[in-house]
Amino acid sequence: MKICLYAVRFEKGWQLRVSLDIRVDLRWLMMTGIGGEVDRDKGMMKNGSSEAIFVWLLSEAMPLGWAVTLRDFFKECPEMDNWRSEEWGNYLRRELKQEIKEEEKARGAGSEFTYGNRIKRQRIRWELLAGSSPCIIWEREAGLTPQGEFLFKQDVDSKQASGYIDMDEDNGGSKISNNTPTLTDKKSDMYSVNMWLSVAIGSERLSGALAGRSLLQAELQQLLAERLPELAPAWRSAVQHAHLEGRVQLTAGVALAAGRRGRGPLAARARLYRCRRCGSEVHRRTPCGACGLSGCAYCEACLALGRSRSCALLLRGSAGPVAPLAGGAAAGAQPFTESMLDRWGLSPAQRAAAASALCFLAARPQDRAIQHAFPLLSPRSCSLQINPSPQRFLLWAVTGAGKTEMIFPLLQYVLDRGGRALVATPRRDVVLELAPRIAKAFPEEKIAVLYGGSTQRWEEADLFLATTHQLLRFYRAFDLVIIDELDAFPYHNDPMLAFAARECCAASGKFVFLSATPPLTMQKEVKSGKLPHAKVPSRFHGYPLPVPRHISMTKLDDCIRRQALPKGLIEALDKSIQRGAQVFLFVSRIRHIEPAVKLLRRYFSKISIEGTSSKDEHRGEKVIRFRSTEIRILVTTTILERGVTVPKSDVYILDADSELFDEASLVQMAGRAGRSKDDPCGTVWLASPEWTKPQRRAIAQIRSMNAVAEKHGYLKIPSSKLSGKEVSRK
Amino acid sequence: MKSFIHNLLAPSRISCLACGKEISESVRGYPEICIGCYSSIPWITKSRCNICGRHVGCPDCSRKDMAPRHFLMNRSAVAYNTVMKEWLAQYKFRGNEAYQPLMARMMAEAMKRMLYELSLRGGNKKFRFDAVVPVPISEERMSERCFNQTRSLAFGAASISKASVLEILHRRQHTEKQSFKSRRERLESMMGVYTPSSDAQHCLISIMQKPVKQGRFHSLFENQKLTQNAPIRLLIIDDVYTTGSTVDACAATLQMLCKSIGATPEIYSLTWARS
Repeated sequence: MKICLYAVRFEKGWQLRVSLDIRVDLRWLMMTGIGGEVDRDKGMMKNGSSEAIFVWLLSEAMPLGWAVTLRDFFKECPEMDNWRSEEWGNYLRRELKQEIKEEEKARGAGSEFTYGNRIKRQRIRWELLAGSSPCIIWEREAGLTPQGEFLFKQDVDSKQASGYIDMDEDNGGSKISNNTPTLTDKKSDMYSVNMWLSVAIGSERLSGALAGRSLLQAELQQLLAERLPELAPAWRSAVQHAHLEGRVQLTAGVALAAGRRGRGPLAARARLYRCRRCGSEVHRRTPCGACGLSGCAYCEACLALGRSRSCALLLRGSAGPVAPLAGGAAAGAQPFTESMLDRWGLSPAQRAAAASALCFLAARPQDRAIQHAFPLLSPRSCSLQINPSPQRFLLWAVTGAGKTEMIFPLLQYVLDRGGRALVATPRRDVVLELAPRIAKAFPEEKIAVLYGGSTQRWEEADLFLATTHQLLRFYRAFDLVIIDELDAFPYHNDPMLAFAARECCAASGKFVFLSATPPLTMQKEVKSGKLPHAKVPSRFHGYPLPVPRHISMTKLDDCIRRQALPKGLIEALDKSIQRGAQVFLFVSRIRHIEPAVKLLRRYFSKISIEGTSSKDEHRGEKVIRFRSTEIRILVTTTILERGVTVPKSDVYILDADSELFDEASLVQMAGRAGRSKDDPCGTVWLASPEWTKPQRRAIAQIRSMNAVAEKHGYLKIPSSKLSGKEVSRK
Repeated sequence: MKSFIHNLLAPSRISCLACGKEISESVRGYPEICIGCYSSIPWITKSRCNICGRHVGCPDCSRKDMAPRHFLMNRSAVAYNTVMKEWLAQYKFRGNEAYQPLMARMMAEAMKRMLYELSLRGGNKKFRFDAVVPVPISEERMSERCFNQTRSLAFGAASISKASVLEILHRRQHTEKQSFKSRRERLESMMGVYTPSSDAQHCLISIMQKPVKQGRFHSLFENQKLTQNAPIRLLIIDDVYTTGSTVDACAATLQMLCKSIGATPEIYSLTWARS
């Protein structure tokens, strides 16, 4: 989109500003007479704010990315006081030299439509991109200049559809509030008080709705359509007012990463653009009809949530005043007490971990020992205003330990203090599964469940449950962010998640990670003591984790070709069936499923055997039938490695040496066995030709967790009875 | 560490645009997608209805009460099945412009087929379009979506023929997205939406005056369209043909435009998908 850019000279210096509706800015200057900034907390002008002396309109409509770059990198110099139109014009062109060069290259390359190989540069026409030359529009003594008046009284009809409030009094009535009285006819009063009042009211409501959110223009329209429909026709004016009040930040979706804007020899290096919303690098440039550039960059990583472009308007509402959460002199901020844990019915291991986490939450900011930047993010990107590292805590809970129940006391703690909390999970079905459980635990709280297509996207609540992508729509909004199943995230090596999680957490907020299999880097941090953590090494029922055993078996492909399965495997399967257990049979590839099912049916003809995968439409139904013991053996891929609880089950992992099964995956799959109280000792078999490192490490991890559990006395029976070192040699 | 070195030495694998899997082998000329996705493209190689290019029997064109069409025929590259719907949605609504070269190439293939068919019909004389006209989008859509997908498709189709792309239509007012309307609503809403652009006449006249080389042995005079009564052949490009109302409205405008400069038009239509 194109946006207006102007320069205003205060008594203390120059400032560059962007505006969605210049009339609001002019009116603000005229009305308050003071162009300074308002101090939100005190509601008064900040100390040192000064009167505006004059205002230069630099461009009525220029590509938003350029305007924001100029504003953010503005350095004033004393000669500016005496500059005229031409000098301002030259200044703009000079500051944007790099951008103009890139644009000319993009045009010369002709994007996709030319056939030549040589990239020529095609000169841009400044007037087409940025409008006519700069002119002065307001002076303190004289008021609005003729150009200024022209701008102010602009005919709104053409613009009405796109969000400008209609200033024309003859049209009668304000567009925002139905409560303000209809206008009088004073033509001399260019901008009636009532109109201004309705803009102010609209801006107030908008700021409230935008608090803690980070939205593109299209998303803002959706929010308005749902919550504040009366604002939709005049959103530009309302947003600009809120911006002038300091409650809404206006910025561009894609911006230059810092440190690239120098002059001199180093400036010629390729400039790196980053998406402000998700933090990923942006390489893709296309011609854009909204801003007129041929090389407008857009971010592909977060494309699913709308296009974040160089010229896309990104609005960020500042979070409302937050009650200090931890420590401090505020009343009600006591350290936690044991009684807070009582109502949740936790097992001893869970209690200890939850207590530890609550200690972490209650700790004051100055108590933290070492701060660590999120490892995946480069610290050089300072122009993006990355959140200085919030504190993190890891709850390392084994499969079946009851992670969800453990976070309830944490949520309770934050909610009691009036804070906002967020629980983020990797997948939509996990979100849908957790929602009723959390709702049951917090019956009086309003809970917003967010995922692609959810109807609650724009609601206000104190407790949020969301998938990863939804985090991108928040900005410094939460006091507590709980990330569940950290290693299962779709892009767990992608810095986008780290960025999004960090940005949506308030400056003084805290992180809690939940996982049974934290990534290696985190495990190392735990070992070296850098990461506060708590282990929950035993399951809810108090029995140790089943330690996997090994069966020697060739590749499944070979078995399928020869149409024969090894005797050891069949014997083990038989034993499982005999004892009445359900059998999870994990294979590494979807193409193995059908042949494996057929092969197994030949050996076990009397029982129901089915296969499922992510491509299976009837997966949900098959899981239900498996739970009800109708299906006895379920052949599946890693799609079922997490989240599924089936009582009395054994687990078989074929091709356990496959590269698709890493340590975390093996631990998770093994975790499907022995979940319920009635059958806590399921067996787990790893079938492969030889031992491999991931297998050994998975077993080591499980054994060490059992050892820790025993040491702390959480286990009902000693684990040595269960962990067998038998390896059946075949 | 081992995996790091492995990644350095292994050839770089790109993932398929449509399905996201790694491309182990791709089809020649289509580097963006994997062979699985390529083979699932529902090309329309033979159209069963001569007029609208449907690949199944056509109840529309044989209706008795059909108003006469302003265009002669339509051909489409692919059938608008679920997969193609997803591709177009990614491109048009999501704005994933990585699909652009792929879809432009598909248009080029369809163009080739169409030219071949028309050449056969005309008794093996090589068939040429004089100009390719994309269906325009309204200004509001342009500022929202930032690009006109039909325009890219038009350039894709024009790339293999000698025709130029003329953007001589303008969309007057913005109607609600067609995808939300019923068949009847679509047909009715198309009245008067497309108008000629300001330089339309000028462009058309210059096209007609352009001398065309058609091989060394033909005389230049044979091919000048300005010698009257040689029909001017225009090709309208759109992304999806459902009822044909959009193409029809554009064709009607083009007919009027051509009449105003004294030319007789032959209007054809090539769309990416046929639903």
